[in-house]
Amino acid sequence: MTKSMRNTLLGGMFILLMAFLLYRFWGMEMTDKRSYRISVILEDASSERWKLFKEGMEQAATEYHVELEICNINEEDEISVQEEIIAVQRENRADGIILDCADSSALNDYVRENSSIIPMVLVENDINDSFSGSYVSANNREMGKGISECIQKESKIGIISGYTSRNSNLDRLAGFKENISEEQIKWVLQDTSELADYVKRYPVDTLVILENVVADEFIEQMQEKNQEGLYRNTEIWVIGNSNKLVYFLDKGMINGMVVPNEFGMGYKAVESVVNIIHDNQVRDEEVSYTVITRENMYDSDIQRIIFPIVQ
Amino acid sequence: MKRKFKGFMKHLIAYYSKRSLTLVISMSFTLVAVLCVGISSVVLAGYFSEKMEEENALNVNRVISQVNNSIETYVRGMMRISDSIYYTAIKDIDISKDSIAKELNVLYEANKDNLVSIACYTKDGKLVAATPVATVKENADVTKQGWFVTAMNRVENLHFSRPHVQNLFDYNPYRYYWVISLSRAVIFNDNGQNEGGVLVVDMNYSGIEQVLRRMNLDDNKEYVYLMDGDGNIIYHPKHKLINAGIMEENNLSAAGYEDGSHDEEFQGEERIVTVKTVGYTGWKIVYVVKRSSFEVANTQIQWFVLFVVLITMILLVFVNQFISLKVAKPIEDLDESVKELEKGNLDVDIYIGGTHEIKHLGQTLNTVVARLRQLMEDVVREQEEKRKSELDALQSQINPHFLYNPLDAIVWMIESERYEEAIFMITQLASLFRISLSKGRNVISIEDELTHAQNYMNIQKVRYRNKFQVEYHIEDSIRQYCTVKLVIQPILENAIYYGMEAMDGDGLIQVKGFEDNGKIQIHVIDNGLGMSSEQVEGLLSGTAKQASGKKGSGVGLCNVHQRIRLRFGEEYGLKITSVPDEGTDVCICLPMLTCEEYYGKAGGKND
Repeated sequence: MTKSMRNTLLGGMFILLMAFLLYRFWGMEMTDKRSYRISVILEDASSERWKLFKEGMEQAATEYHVELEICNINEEDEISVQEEIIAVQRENRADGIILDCADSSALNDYVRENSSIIPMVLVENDINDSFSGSYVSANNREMGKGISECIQKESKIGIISGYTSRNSNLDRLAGFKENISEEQIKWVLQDTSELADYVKRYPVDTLVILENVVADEFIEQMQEKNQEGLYRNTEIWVIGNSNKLVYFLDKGMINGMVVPNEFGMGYKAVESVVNIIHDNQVRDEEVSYTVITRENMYDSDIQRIIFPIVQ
Repeated sequence: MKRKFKGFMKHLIAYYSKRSLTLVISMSFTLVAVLCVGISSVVLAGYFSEKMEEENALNVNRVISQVNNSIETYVRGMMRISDSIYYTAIKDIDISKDSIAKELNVLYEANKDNLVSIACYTKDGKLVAATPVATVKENADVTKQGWFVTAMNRVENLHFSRPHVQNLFDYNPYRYYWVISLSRAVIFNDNGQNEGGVLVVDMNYSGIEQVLRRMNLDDNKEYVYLMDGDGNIIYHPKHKLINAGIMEENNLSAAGYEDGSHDEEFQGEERIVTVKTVGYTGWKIVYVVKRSSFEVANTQIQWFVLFVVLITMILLVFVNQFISLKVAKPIEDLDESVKELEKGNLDVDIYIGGTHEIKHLGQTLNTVVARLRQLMEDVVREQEEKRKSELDALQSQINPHFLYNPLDAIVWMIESERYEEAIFMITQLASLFRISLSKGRNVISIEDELTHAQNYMNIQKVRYRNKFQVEYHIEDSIRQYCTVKLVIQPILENAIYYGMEAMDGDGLIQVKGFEDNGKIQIHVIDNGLGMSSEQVEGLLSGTAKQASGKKGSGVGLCNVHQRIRLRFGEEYGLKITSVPDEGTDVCICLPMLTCEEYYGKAGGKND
């Protein structure tokens, strides 16, 4: 081996060694700070019903170094528009997508196909077919059933189920009906637009609202139209959590709430996306729910759930 | 194993000792440097690691002290408010006649950033006064509130509740406050009667929360939280995760810890937990540091140290290489010169350079080589002279031999009065001697040599009474070239003695001269008795004379052969071809060199 060859070899080895060490030394810090970009597509994303869910996501985002981009889908949007929003996020090089499926059936094929291309987690609403992502939600059927167990026997019941295009609402309705005879259920509405008429024409003892957004609409409608008297003798149970609902529960205008662990759902949604990105680990997560009444709402465990910790 | 190690070491030392000086110096330096740097780096890494832990412990204590001071300041402030209300308002008035609402309101307004409400109840839970809102919730029952029960049960103390949502008064719709209730038992003057009651100051929980949140960075590796004496969490940076059941905290165990640092393992993770109890409240500040945070930092330090060590080592290798080259290069150059000397090259340019010592060695060696060279030249010259003197001795061996026979013949001629023939003989003899002398030169032209040979043969023909014939076939072109003198005559003499004596008038000696392949060839061919190959070899080696036992010049062909080779080189000389009973051909091989060229090339040294 000539002297120049030996020097070249030594020089090359030196550079390689330095590159390796730099990679190890700086790479270690880089690994800690590696971040992901996750798009969160929610129906009516600015609604208060997502507040705790977003807090949960932000908590997980801090821990997993995730940058969240929250996008809104409206109920009125055409399916093609909803699909386009998902496509744009995918093309914007999002590392993963968290999706509240506004229409479980219509988006079924699109979600199924895209979930094999980009890590995807569905929250609250799943689709009809199996797909390649994870599903994070409270057990909707059990929540519906949970309300039915709190209702007095033999009472006449009116239900506002929320839009049945969402599988979560259908599941809650199905769960509720498990313990209730068909004769007791006098009517089932999807929204509150005809509620007052139905209550007047077909009085019920118990009103059950199975969807958070619809429950908030109901409260607003009742306040705006001074309809408190209309429901004075009606027992009202809702699935959901918001400041208004809690206030009305405190006032005794609502008898009970079934509250899914929205914070946990948000946290686990982000965690699930990260798990898929990191380890291709697809696993459905079920979060808890709590039945809250006026009597237990100030219990120390319960108040931590329904009252944001800092006012 | 031991034997293997010994064998390996032996092999290593043997290998090492065979390596070049540069490598030995470089490797020795590098080994020492690597050892030093390695030991230093291990010590440094340990030192840094220890320092880091000390620094962290100091930082933890600093943070805890800050938190403790802030919380104590906050709590003392609240206690002062409670004392002020009790001692300046409640104790001095009769609640059946006067209201304390005004005093409460003043104090509330002065501290409203940290307060949510101040209220005073009778022992039955009846509201005496409250600020800022006095509308009590319809379902509110203070006697069931924890702070009320505690105050009534332990009347001598101030009591701080766990954080809870204030649910006594109606505030703005949808508005709820997290508070920590500072309650105490009080005694009212109710129309002259002392009545028991409870004063509650609802501290805004956000005040405590802000103090602790400032101290917590978004870091999973270390955090600080606050709990009461029973281990109930008052503040935790991950309280939402804990409430959601995603995370757990080891608060119940920490409640049993004394103030100070404790090592614990929680959920498979080693942690250092530092606890400090807050005055007045019994609350505990807990600072948690996960050991894995040290490990990451330690690993980073180790990699950094390794990085520095390797850079240093590589630089040292290059520097050592450079230094060892500087030190060893002159020695190696000198060694190269000696190797050249060993090969026998005395003309080598001995390296003189480097340090003073090596330069001195080179100079000395150079002197020795110069002297050696001189000695060698002397030896060569002496050898040359010796060789020439031997040549001359050989030459001088011929002359007496020539004198004997012709003089004998001349005497015989004069005695038989054959004067004409005697004169011819003397003339021929004179010519022979003239050429023999050749002014002292040993190399003469072929022309002269042939004349000399003819003179000799003329003399011998007289003596042998024409027993044989002589024929000359010489190309004129070769006559100008040179030859060692007196080379043909001994061959002719041998041809006569060994070939012609037995012939009876039909002997023939032919002398042929021509150029062949850049060389001159002169053949002396006789048709005499011829010789065996052994005899031919004996002629050239000088042993034939004794074997044959015949008379001759006493010199033989061996002399001629040696003389030619000494003068012109190994490739020239005699070549004898002989067939028994047929004859002998002696070929003289000479270079194509004129006398002028010969003497010019030899620089006048040959003679």
